Amino acid sequence: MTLTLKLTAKDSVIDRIDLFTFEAIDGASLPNYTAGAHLDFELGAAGTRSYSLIDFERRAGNARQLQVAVQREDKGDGGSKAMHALEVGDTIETTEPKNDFELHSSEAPTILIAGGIGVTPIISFAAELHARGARYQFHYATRSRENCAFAGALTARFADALTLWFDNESQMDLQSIIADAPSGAHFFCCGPKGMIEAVRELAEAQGIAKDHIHFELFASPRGHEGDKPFEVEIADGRVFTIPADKTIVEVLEAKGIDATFDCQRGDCGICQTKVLGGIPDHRDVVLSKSERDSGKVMQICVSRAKSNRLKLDIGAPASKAKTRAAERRSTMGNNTTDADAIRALVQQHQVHRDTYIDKEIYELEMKHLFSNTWVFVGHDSQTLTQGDYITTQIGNQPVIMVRHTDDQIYVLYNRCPHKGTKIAIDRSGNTGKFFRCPYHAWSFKTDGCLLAIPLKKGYAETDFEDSEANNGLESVGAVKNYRGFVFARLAKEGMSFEDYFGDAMSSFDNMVDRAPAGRLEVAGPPLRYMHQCNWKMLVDNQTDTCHPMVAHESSAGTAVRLFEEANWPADKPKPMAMEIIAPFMSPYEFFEEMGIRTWPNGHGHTGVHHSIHSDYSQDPEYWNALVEAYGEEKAAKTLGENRHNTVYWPNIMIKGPVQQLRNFIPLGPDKTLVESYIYRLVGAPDYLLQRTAMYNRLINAPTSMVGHDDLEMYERAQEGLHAQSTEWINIQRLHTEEEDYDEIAVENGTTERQMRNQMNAWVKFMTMSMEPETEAAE
Amino acid sequence: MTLTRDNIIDFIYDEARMLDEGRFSEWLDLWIPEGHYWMPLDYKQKDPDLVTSLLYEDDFMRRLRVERLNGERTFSQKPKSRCHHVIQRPFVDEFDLDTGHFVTNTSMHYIETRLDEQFLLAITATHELKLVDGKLRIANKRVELLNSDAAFGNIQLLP
Ligand code: FES
Ligand SMILES: [Fe+2]
Repeated sequence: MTLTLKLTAKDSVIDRIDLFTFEAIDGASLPNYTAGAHLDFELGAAGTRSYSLIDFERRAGNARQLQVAVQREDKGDGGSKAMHALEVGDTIETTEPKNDFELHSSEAPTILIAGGIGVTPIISFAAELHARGARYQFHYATRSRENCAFAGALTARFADALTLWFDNESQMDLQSIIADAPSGAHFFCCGPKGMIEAVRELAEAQGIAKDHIHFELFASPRGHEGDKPFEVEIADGRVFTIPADKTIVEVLEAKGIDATFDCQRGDCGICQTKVLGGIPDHRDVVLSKSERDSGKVMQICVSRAKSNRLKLDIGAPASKAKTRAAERRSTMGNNTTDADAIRALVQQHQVHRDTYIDKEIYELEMKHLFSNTWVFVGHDSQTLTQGDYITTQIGNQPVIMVRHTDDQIYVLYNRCPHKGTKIAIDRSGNTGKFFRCPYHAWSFKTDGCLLAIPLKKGYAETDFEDSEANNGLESVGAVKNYRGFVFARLAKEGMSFEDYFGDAMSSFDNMVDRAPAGRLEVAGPPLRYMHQCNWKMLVDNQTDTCHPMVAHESSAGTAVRLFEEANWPADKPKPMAMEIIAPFMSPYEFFEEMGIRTWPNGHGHTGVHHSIHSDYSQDPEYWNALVEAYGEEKAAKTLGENRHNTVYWPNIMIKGPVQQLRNFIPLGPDKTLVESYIYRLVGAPDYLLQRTAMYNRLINAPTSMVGHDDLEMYERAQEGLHAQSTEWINIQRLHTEEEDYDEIAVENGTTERQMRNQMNAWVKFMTMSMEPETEAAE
Repeated sequence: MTLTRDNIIDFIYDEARMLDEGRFSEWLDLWIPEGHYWMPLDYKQKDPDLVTSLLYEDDFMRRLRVERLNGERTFSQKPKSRCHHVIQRPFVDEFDLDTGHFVTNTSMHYIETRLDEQFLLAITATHELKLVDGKLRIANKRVELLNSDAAFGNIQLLP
């Protein structure tokens, strides 16, 4: 679960080190944690960074504040700089406190050893031990007095136990500290790698048991200056090059070789691998001196090679999804990874048909694309009061959107942690204060926390607290309520909502600004229209401006003709249906001139200058209500913007001027459910909603004369793509040399640039989690 | 002659047969112009106007629909669909000779087919009929699908 924290104070401790104090946005209490815990901070482009919590006061059990100290590394990877860039009042997302560095609970004495900024978790230990009245020593080394953060505060609190060491006066005497330590002592060390290695070696030499030596690296051990590429040969004879800026596990992962690892810092020990040839360059803190010297094992998450090649005893290729396309392309283009195979399916001007018809590609979309992107879940007026919920899905993942007792909207996986039963299956309902699983009556708060289990004593002796089932209903990675529209990202880590959508949210703004009260309300259930075609056919169609006058001639063209034949009296209002349906017959020039705008990450819209919605009649009552709410200038601006279809990648489209949202829910490579919602402009007269409802049934219903022809085209295409003729779908209209989709562009309204933009985003979010991003230099 | 309940019931049967035989233009003439052909989206839906329906069509829209079915460039009707109504004897719920106002309630199974696909809808139709110049006409027709909240593919003809 993520925390959103507000920075309430940022105090300089010493040069380059600041103390950051965070509180919950609403001043609520924060999760409990124990000494040694850290937070993982979401730092946008800089990625995730872990910082240990400092707890001078032992507030951990009932914290209103969380504090971390961060040293700015000017040559670092940007994480510390991103932290220092935060200003008081800023909010940031973190994980809940996690602890991989727990203090022991025995009576034995404790030796705390800190180096530099590694002092942060050690401070919390000292405070805890001090409060317990335990026997402990606290050794803290820095380069000089000026570099000694918190010297005053530490001396004041822990004077009896504290020894400060300064490299430029008297270096920390680890040898004596360890040799003179009381027997049975536990050693806790946090600091640079050299210090941890020294502690481990000296302690081992003293015969101190491994489980009495605890350490945490505070800096990433990977990436030294002067690292060179080398080769790794694996058991099946394949050879891979490990570039200077990549680790062995990163390269193996990317190539689909099943490597087991966890910390990627060289301290958990999980990635230990047998070396069959070559000389490793050890960078870990796990192996003992004798293991290291033997050269027979290594930690492949950090360690590198002294020889040009290492031969490792590591597996046969994993059964990782290897797509048909990947196989074909690997023989053609010699690309061996999934990510490369995915990239090979998309060129700027054409897209391989496998992206629309291949089952394995579809499954990769569910796993990667729909996990890395922000996907629409529902509107908050569907869950108006506490306990209201709806069930839906994100990609193929069943989820519940629910309003919790704190009035916030949560999005939870719809899966009982006990045996998997879906907790709710009605499309909507109210569950009161908690969900109760209908199978064995486990109950959960509406934020997902496990509330109760009948006959709980049956779990008393089972270490149930440690099992995943104890976590309750899991939340998705991140949730955002944007002016009533709720989006979620399944992936725990990834792009922020703001970075993902950017300026594209202006279409939502326009839709909501059309309500005098500044908000929308869902009006009734959605139309549900089943399409036997790939979901992307529908997304493509939203900005396909060259089809209406052709495919919809039978409905729109006939409407225009009937209307002409009817000799409609000039004083009789035109049928509302005509207003809606006739513009579909507009000529090519109309669509050319209306313009298309594309935004980064696959978003875009038609109707920059005008659209088929521009000429809808308005009445004075509505105009006056808008002017009253916003002033004339803004009202005119809002109504002057008549965007046609706005696509929010991956799978929704909205129409601001008619308050509609269409959700293209993928159910299979050739099956898509389209749900079309309409919304009431709160504070606006009813006739607007009447037109919106009419638009929905005329255009989006399974009984729609317009929809019939669209679906006919999609289904024909879905079948036609299997023909053994060309394997490519052409999206070349008005393609210009090497388009950059990270740029916002406004172009001729018949360009297929938006389709290209979508497929560019498709590659980006498909491959994002397939291999580690090439990181900026450390 | 005076109208009997049987005349009302026959009217409903005749309409179904007209639709099954694809005589849509004739079917249009069964309606009084102000009448609405309504297929709600929500079970027991009351409001045709401010929430979505599957169909809520006036004279203009009915004509458009039928014209389209007859059209040359109606791609989703190449080849054409066919439909089939199996109806249970209608209940005559209201029978008012004085005002010429009649209401029937009819259970039907509606089948529509095109190419290799065929689907079945279970329906309750409510007809409001009026006597106009001695002839029965449809004043309003409401078609309630048993599973109106389910997701459908194309429903192209007239249940
Ligand atoms: S499966 Fe949910 S309580 Fe057992
Ligand atoms: Fe269309």
